[in-house]
Amino acid sequence: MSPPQQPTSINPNSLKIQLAYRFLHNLNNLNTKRSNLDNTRIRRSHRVKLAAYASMAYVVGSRRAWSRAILWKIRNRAVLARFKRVDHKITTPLRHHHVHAGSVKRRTPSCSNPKREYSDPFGNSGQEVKLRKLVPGSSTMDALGLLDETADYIKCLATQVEVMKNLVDLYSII
Amino acid sequence: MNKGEELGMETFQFGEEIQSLMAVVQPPEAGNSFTALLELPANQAVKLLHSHEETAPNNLPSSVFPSAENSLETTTSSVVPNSSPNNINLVKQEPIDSDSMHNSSPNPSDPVVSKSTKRKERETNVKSSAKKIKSVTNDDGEELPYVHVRARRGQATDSHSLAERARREKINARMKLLQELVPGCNKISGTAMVLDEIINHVQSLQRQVEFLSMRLAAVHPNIDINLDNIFSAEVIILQSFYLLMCNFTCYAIIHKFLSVSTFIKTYH
Repeated sequence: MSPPQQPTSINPNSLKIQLAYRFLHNLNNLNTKRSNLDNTRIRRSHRVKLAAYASMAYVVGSRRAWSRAILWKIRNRAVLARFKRVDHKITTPLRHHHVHAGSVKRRTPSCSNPKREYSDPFGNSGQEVKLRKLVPGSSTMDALGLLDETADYIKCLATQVEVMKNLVDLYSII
Repeated sequence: MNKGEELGMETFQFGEEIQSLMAVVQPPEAGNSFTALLELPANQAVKLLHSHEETAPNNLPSSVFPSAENSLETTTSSVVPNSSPNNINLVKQEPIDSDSMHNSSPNPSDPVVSKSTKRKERETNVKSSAKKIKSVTNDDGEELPYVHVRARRGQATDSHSLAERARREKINARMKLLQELVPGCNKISGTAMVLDEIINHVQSLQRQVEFLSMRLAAVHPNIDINLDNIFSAEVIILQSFYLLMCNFTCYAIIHKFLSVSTFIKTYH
């Protein structure tokens, strides 16, 4: 076969490639920055996890609410840690372009309709609350936006997991 | 636009019958005909209205009345129960239909007679659904974005339930998208189970990220990624990574592996 070069058929704009590149970049920065500090495995794994989420959020950028929430959390990690020690409740970041700042209350439908299931896909089983806890930055939107964010979040998470799996495979072979 | 408004209000009340009629007369895409109907020069509509008021009661055969009453009973919206002016309005809509459809100005009385006899069969034929356009809820008379909601016969047709229905359809579309994303969710029916699956999937993905990060952290200290000195090693790692990501042929991957491993082993 021809000598293996970088194949030209790779789409450099695909999510996977961007995630891979960004994640490696973050890992490098991580290791060079803190190589002399605490190197216990737990702390390192925590930092790797943060790097993974940060790279994921960075690639998506400001397009999505969950990525904005992650970036905000990471950039203000020190401030949030201080707040965490003071009071245990952490509200969502106050964004100037969100109308209801940090409030979890949803807008109830203004009309009174006898058929409740039309407006409420989640029913009363508490699934929505669970989903809001899982997807970052989802507390300030209604059910429709929540489903949107969940779909995008799942897609990015799945590609990130694939990138990390490949990386682990690569390192474990060597 | 008062006349047009008034026309619109009346047609909104009897929207279902009209749409059923139009469904048989081959409505073009997305109810454009209805908007054309509304935008028909109000003068023409008014002229038809007025011209019909004298001749209509004579021309209508008796068979129209029972059919109209049947259709009126099925709609649950607030419909004026007296039948005769309704029939006149309905019948007047038909020549407007034919006008907009056939692009002609026929003799108003003949289509009325011929179509009114066929209307009963049409209404019995058009059973399942009728397109409804939620348009005239505002009194502004300006151009509104038309929301095309399919209203079945016998369902509530007021604006609130229409809005709810549109919202529900949006939510259902997004749920379908989520079902495609989450593997193994296509067979499950019912939103509650699907949501459970979605939640489980997100949780499992997050747990996987954590687990993989632990593994990576365990692997990391063996490999010195302090690549200040040599830039090319990083490039090679990245390149092999690219290849892995794209599932390139094994040949190339193995070659890259060998090159990567030689580089990394020199660091030990």
